[in-house]
Amino acid sequence: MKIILTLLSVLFFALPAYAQEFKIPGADTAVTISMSPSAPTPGSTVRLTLKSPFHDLENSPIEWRVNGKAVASGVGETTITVNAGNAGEGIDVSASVESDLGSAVAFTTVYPTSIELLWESSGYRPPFYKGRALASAGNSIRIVALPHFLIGKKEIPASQLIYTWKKSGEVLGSLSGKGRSSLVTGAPMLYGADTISVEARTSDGSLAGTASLRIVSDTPKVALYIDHPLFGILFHKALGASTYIPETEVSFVAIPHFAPASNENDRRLEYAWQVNSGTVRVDTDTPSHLTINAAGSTGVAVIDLSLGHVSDFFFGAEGSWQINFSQSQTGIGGNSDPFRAQ
Amino acid sequence: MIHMSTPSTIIKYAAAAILVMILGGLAGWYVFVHRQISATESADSARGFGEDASFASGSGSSFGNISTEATDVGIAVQAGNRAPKLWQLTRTPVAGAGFEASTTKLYFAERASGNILVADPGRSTIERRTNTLFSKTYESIFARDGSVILRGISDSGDISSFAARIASSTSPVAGDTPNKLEGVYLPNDIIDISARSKDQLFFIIPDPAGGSTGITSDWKGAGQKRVFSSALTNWRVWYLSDGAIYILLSASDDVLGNAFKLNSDGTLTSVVGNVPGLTILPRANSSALIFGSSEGGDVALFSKASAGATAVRLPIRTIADKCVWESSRELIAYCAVPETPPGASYLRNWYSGNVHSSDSIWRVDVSAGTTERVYSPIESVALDVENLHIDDSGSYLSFMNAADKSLWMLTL
Repeated sequence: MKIILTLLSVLFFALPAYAQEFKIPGADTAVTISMSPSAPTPGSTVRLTLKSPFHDLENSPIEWRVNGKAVASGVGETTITVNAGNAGEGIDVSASVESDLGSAVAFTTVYPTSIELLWESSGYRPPFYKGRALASAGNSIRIVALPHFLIGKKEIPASQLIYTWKKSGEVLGSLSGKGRSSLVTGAPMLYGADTISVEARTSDGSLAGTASLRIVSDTPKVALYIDHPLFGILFHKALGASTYIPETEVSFVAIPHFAPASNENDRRLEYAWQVNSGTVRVDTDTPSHLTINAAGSTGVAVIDLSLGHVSDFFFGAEGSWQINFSQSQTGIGGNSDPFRAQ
Repeated sequence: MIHMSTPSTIIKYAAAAILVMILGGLAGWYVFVHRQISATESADSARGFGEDASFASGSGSSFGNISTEATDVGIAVQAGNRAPKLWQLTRTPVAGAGFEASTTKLYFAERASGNILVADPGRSTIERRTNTLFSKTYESIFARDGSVILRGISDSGDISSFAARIASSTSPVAGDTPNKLEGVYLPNDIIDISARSKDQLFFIIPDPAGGSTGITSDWKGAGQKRVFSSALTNWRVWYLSDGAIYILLSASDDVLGNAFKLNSDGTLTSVVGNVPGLTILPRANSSALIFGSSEGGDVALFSKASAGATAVRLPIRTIADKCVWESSRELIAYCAVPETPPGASYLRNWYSGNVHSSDSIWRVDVSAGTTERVYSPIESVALDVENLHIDDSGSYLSFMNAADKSLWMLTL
């Protein structure tokens, strides 16, 4: 019994000494610095946290250095925040800890990156229209990622990055990959919206960036313009619901902004014109055009247009315009006196 | 006693009857023709006809359209005298305008004919420079020597761009016949084009494989060099006199917009980004920028005195499309501002001709971040200002009325 007690005593008092000598393999490197956000943008605030599976960080002295300069220290000082700085200007960060298991150091470099997401729709824009083609149902959307990944003053070419595209949270695997910096996908459903996001990273994962955008479906609209014999289509003057026209014969043209078509006379578009409730048959080569001759007619010409698409059943637009010609008399109603329309 | 008519009497009656019938017929024919002429004149007048042909006089077909007698604002214009404070140069649409370098002369192109005219506000005169017909010219871009790009729509529906020069010899004296406009057609379907000088152009054309390509060339379309390519097409471009090229993905309300400076290696440097409904106005020989936003039915205008400066929101609500930089060393701009809030979807509605405003004009000192009203709308004249230009001396501001494409000039 004495022998057992003696052995236990020896072991009990010897344990601390053993423990001090005990080294967990890799403990000196078993610290890491995590970054939030994981892909900081230039000028943003970055939260850096020291983590370790072995070291008791909460009760150990920790020292942080940024670009070699001590910026924080103290027991349990596991977190600091830094400014990500400018693009291309990497920030070297180190954190060292002294614990019962010994010392350990972790390093990381903060490289701020940015990605700009640009998009447009394949929808029809009339000539000289200065605005963006919006996303109406039936169109496709082209999205381009412009990554700005700089090391020093050298920008990593977009073609060398690996892209992961997501549409409303779902990874678009077949459209992702190295150099896939642009994406073509369907426009949101009618009245719907899609969120498109992309993550880009270097092949070694040292630099990464993310971006996302929300695209809302646009309601198709059709505008009516005068096709003037001298001045051409008066794109600057869309006709309102009620218009006075001091002419006898006028040609009109309907412009379906952002329709899934290549031009206003695209064969895929179906125009259904009515003048004072009477169906008008127009030239099949120029179905967007309507000519009205008001000579000898009276009243108001009520033009109704219903626009459809041969293959896209979600696309549709309607318009109605009252045209009061100088040669006609108002207030009578033109139903019994149809205008000569073609 | 029965009086018998003699053959000579019968002949006299018959002749009289024939004469009456002829006179009646002629009278009827006169009335008929007169009515037709009246109807035709009425219709032609409504269409803007009834003016001189494109030949003969110094200003040709636009002579009657040009306000040499009186403007719509009731201010008399006397040829030989200085132009009034607000001068309406044309009543019919124009395609565009631009001041001549180092002078106050303004070149402009008629929309109907593509003819080039030049207005001199110092003498309130307008002279025709060319009579070459380019019917239905929708857009024109002028270099500072009067060289011009006329843009229209061909019969096949393509956008055509004709780059032409006006030789100094085409400057007419009174009574001379204007000369031809000679030039070359640039590639079809140019999406947007900008002139740095009389020698250098930058334009964007669709790529057959998709996307678009940016090209620099001389005024004859020669020496083409691809300097930009993109998977997108909805670009607007500015090629400034200092050689800087800016591009903007076309704006739409509530849609984030981005603008870039194009570097010589084809890469893009972001100038301003992620701004809803972004419109821009870059400035030559400076990194100063005016930009506008349109979001949630509200428009706002911002300025940056330099690339690194913080954007300052200006106390006027308009878009950059309604602004122009003065060419002086100071960062002065002039902006047209709708008198009433433009409302929701302003950009879309304005670009498509669905809304028009009545604008005042403001002087903007970007360095100081201050604004000053220099023109208030006249009650009878609503001017929806677009396509602004300012002469080198900063004395005259020209613009088009977006509501009817008429041309105006304001003495500053």
